[in-house]
Amino acid sequence: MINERCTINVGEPMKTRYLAATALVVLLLGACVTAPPSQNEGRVAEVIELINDGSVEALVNQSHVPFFFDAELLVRSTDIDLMWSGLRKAGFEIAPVGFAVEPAGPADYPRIADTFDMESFFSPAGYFPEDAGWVVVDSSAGQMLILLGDRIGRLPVIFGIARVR
Amino acid sequence: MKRIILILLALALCGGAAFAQDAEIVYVDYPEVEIKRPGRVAILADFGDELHAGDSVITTRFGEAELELADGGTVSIARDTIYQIQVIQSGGEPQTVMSVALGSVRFKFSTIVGRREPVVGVPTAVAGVRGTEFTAYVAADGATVFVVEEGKVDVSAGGGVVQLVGGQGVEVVPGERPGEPFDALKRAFDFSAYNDERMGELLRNPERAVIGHTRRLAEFADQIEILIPLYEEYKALLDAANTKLETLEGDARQTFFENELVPIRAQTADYFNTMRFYALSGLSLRRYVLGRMYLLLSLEYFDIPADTTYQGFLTAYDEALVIYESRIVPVLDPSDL
Repeated sequence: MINERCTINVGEPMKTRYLAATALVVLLLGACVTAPPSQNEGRVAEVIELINDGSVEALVNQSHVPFFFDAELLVRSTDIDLMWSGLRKAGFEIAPVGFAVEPAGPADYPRIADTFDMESFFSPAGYFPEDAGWVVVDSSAGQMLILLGDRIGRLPVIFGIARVR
Repeated sequence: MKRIILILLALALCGGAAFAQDAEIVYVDYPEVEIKRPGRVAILADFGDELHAGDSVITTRFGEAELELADGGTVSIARDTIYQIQVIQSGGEPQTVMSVALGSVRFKFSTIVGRREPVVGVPTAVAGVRGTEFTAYVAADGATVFVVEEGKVDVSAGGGVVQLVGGQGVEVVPGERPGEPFDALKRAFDFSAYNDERMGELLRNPERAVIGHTRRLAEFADQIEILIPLYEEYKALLDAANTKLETLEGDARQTFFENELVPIRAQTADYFNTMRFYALSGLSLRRYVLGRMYLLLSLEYFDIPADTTYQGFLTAYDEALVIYESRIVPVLDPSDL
């Protein structure tokens, strides 16, 4: 009696839809597990939106300290505030579409600069996060690189931004 | 690899002294003050936090802090300031060296018989103090004004020395000797107005400021290069003395240890710590002064990067970085970052 009550009798078309939906959920869950926020295009798009339209305070909160601006390390949150405020004042804007997301590794530091500071920052013993990702964007200042990793809330943390040389 | 060996040896030479408390935070505007320790992410400073050699205290635009030094002096750190405490071995004795990279810090040193007075460094000058109350104001371009309330301060920069007494002040701009002492009693020094004035000067002629700091960076590098062969010579002597010690026994071993090995070890540590002091001073200049100038100038000329003033700045800046990378970095360790 109990078994009869719990049995759901689904027809063939219903079963197919049910299985497809289940597979989709599993795929989405799998994607969530395998792609960290730094390499998840939806989350990256939200970071770009934050850079373009968010408050400077929110941007500072989403930024890692220390932070690289070009090949300069900013070690004070006051300077990171100054940077985001200055970029906003200069009308800096990133194209919201057409960006590329790539995995990042500690050996990538020469993409910013082949210097002691960058090599040290990018080393795992330094500040480099395990799930780091590059975002290559077009902006009002030309092509730029953004390094993302870790997360605060649902968004990845911004570790640095640099003009492509 | 050589760099890492240097650091490991330093830790061995410094022993427990490296962990002695050098100052304590007795007042802080929480959460507007950070402590940056070498190789670690900055943490929020709180009452009672201990500071050790190599630590920096960084205040935001909204917070101040006050420290009590291990020898009883006090240090008042104003808003938007970067202060660092270091201890070097000089003549076998520890000497406190405090640096102000940006902002303003008021020092009050108590005179204790038999203790060595500390040294205060700013991006453009060094101040030797004797039983003193004074303030160092460091502007955005590194230009500094010292104002003495009590006691005496010798300000050295660019090969020139000026002695200040209570009620006097002096300005030191990057790459130049100290200016003429002025009467600081006539009116209170307005650091905000001075900083704005220097910021204007920096934006008008950034190349000049960078060249001044490059000269200072080169002075640090010169000192490092004098010390490296001395340090290596004593390091070899220390290795040989350690080897010889292993062959001795009894009283001969004890006598050799006290009369030969200990002095060699102290001298090796002196050379190493002084070398590191100059390297960390170079790092501080590069990070807090030159790096901040890069940020300010890059934002100012963000829309017009081809501007000749900005390009002139970048050329001078790259020359400073060459000195840093080739002559300062070899004595740094990634954990210094």
